[in-house]
Amino acid sequence: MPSRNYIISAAIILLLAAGLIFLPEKNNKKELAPEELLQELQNDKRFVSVDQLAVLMIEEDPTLVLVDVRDPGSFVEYSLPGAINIPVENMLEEDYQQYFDRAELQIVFYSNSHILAEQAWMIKKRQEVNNIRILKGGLNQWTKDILLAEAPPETAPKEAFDRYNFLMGARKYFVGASGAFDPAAQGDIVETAPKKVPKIPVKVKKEKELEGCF
Amino acid sequence: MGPLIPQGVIDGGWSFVIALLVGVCFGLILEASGFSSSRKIVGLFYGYDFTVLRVFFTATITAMVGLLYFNYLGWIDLSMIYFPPTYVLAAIIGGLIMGLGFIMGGFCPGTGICAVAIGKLDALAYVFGLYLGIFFFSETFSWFEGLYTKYALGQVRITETLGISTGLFAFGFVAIALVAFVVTAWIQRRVKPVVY
Repeated sequence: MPSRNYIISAAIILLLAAGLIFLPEKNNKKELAPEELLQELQNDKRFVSVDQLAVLMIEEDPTLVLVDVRDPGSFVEYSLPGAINIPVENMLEEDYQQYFDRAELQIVFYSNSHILAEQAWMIKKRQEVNNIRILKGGLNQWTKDILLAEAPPETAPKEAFDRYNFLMGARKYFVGASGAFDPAAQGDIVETAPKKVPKIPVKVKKEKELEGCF
Repeated sequence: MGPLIPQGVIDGGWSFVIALLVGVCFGLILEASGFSSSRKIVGLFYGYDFTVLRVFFTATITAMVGLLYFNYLGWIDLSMIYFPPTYVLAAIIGGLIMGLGFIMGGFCPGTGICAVAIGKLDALAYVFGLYLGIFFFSETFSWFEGLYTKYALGQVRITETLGISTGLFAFGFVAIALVAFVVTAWIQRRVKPVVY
């Protein structure tokens, strides 16, 4: 006959395990509560302006990941230099999760305006990916500001001229030395711009050290 | 709250320090339970000593029941815990090879290293062979790769395969463990005791 201690401890573990049967299955799926999402939507922190993005791109910030959320066709037609293409409808696919698992990256979503990018942002936000920003005004604003910037009137304050000079500099950087934007020459930009989604060396979180034996 | 490192409660840089501490404690308990003795280990195969089975079953069911309650209370997020993917064929073949090495050498990898720590020469030979095996396998992995990845199921859970709730499975597993304790105690009483 086993000792009393064995019987008591066996009874305790059996009781505890029996209790588990009646516990509800817990849903651990991470999701942002609607209230919090609404709060996030009410401030402008999720936006990055064309100027800010231009600075990041000119400085070649290694943490910047530009994501074109439009369809692949539009992406091939025109996209920002160095961007990768993750269409909104593919946003949840496993293949792309490597980009969203890395909190140190600055991800910027863009589309033609910022509507589509915002939809994509909302999907990722619900998955509690917090390092994504949206290009305010999208490619339209980009074209308007960088490629078609117009000199401010002479009476404008100094800041307006500073910004204009910055935009002209950015235009030179992105379009070429002439600094002139010729819509017909867009083809040249396109040829260099689209890239296949690069395989970035990612240490996928899941594949941690395998378990040992004993 | 948990797991502490993935949730950012503890910085990831500490993981090796923590692993070292846990490893030292683990080794200490293995040694204290007498697992650095190969006679105790192989006793499981010959049926005169079931300590190994009892210790590991106890550890498993305690951790399992504890973790499931912690998960329920929100102290740990079990969905963030990594578990290795299932390779059916590799698991069967690897299990057979390991079992064979286990009974021939009288150690399993962890207890082998424990036994090296207390200065057993046979364990030293065993661990040398272990690393030789790892080296050989790593260098020739491309030969076995097809075999290795055959019937890869990915990260599957037995509860999903069986379609039962986690709690029910845990209860069943605890029941099996307790039955195993009773049965092995019964066998041990009937087998000629081995003194070592």
